[in-house]
Amino acid sequence: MDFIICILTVFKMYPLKLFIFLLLLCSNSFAQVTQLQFKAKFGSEDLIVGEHSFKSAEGEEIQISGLKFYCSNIRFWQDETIIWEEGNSFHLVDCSTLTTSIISFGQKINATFNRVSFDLGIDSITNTSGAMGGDLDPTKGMYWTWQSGYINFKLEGKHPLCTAVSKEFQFHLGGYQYPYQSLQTVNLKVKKQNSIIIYLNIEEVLKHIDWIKKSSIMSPCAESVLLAQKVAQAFSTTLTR
Amino acid sequence: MKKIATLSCIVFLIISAFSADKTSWGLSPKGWPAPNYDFTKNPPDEHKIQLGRALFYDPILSRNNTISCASCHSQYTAFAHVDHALSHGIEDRIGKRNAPSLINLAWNKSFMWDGAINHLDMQSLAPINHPDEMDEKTEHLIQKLQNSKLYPSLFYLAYKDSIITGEHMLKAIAQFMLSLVSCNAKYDSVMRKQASFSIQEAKGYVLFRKHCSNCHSEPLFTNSAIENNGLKVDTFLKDYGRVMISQNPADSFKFKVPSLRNIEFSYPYMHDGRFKSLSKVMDHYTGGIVMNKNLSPKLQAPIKLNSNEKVDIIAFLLTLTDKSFLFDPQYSFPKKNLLTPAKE
Repeated sequence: MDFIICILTVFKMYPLKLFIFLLLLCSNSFAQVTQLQFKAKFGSEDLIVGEHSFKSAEGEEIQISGLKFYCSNIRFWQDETIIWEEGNSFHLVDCSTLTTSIISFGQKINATFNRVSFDLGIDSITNTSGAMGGDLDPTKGMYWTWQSGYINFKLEGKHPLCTAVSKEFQFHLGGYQYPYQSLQTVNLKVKKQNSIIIYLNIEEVLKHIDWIKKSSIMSPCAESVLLAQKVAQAFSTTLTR
Repeated sequence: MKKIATLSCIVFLIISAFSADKTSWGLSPKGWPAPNYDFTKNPPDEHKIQLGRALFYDPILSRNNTISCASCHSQYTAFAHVDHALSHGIEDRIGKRNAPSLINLAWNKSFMWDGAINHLDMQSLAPINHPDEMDEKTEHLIQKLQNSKLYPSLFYLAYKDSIITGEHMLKAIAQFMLSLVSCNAKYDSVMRKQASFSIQEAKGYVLFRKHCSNCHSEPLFTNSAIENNGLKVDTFLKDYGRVMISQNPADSFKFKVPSLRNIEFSYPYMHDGRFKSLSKVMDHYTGGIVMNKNLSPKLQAPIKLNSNEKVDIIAFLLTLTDKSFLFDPQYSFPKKNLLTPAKE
């Protein structure tokens, strides 16, 4: 109570100064940095990695045990013009521990934009440039050891239609060499705001898997490229269903 | 003030002279092409080489701490595994291919017999993780190194950071491997006009240039290509080489052309070590080639050599032995780091 009285007294004494101070305080807290928020979904539900079972439209019980992917080369566009692009733009998005992964750019992008693009995976030059650190460190579990190359997208779990005895599937999508380059560019229309939410609907990805033909992918191949295209299409800025 | 400036200038010159000496292996020997490895991304440094050397000789790299890189890549045999056709892993597991010699790797464009690895930095991940070799997990290896008494300080010396990362570990191993430059064989002395071939070696050299140097081109004695050299497919190993990486049928049974430097000591020969001697290799190229649609165009015309000519070529091949390399103490087991009490 005393505190409020004190503030009121100060306000009476220095009305303009305090007003400016409060204004600065507020504007400071609103001047957030621009960021991308990745939210993994299973249909309309939040994707929980672990024991949790999800039911597909066909009634299949599905578990997801791991979901990681590389998001690189992030660009902000106004129509066909790049208005901002991140330098050294390589991010490993790991949905295994948090339902939301945030990529923050450490600054506010002031120019107006209506589109965001990023690459799902690692480009071929980076793939052939030797050992690198940070998110590109080959100990992050996203690098093949028997054959050079980053794994662009990794989805693991259990599905009743999987042909493996354990019903466990692994989709490790990668490959940077012709003809099996699995890198995909994702383009999303966005409204200008500081925090841009991008959904990845895993139910949509699983719909495209031909379980009889290929229940797991662990090397660069035609199926890897096809599935990577479907994953790219499963990113959106609006929730469907 | 002037004195200080002069003094610091002298000190700088001395330091740069020393560092130039240490990093001289980063430059090409005279007459060699420019290396393929990009040294600007991993500049040669004595501490990093010594760290890489310790890692290369330390069995900590394998899951049960029993074998090191040097177990299959021994200096005295040009860093190959003499007398062993196929690579040996932990618990006596046998691999599918012959451990190749490790020399002049900065000039290689790809690694492994099928070119599966695209960069020397990434090469060591393959044997570390392969179940038939070291059977370790890279992440677990980093933990073991971090918890050891030796490595945090060696990494600090090399990178000013005792937190061990995959990038630093791989680049340090690469630095040691890059330092394995063999360029002082008798052949090199002859090319530098400091020695001369015997009559037999000279005859062999002429024949070699006519029949072999299309693929085993000088001065590295490989063209770095991946070729089908007409070997019969081993029905037990069923190893089809490059096609298993590229999935392109035209790459079936193609393997990398190896360097012939120090070939005297790197027996047995071929990707699966099927030939125990150089005379068996000669017999293959002069009468054992199996025609197939992927056979290298350079081997389409039969090579005809009489037995004297074969011996002459072998005599020439022995001039590729580089004793100064095979016994150079800077490549040997690093007693200082691996046998000191800090290791216990």
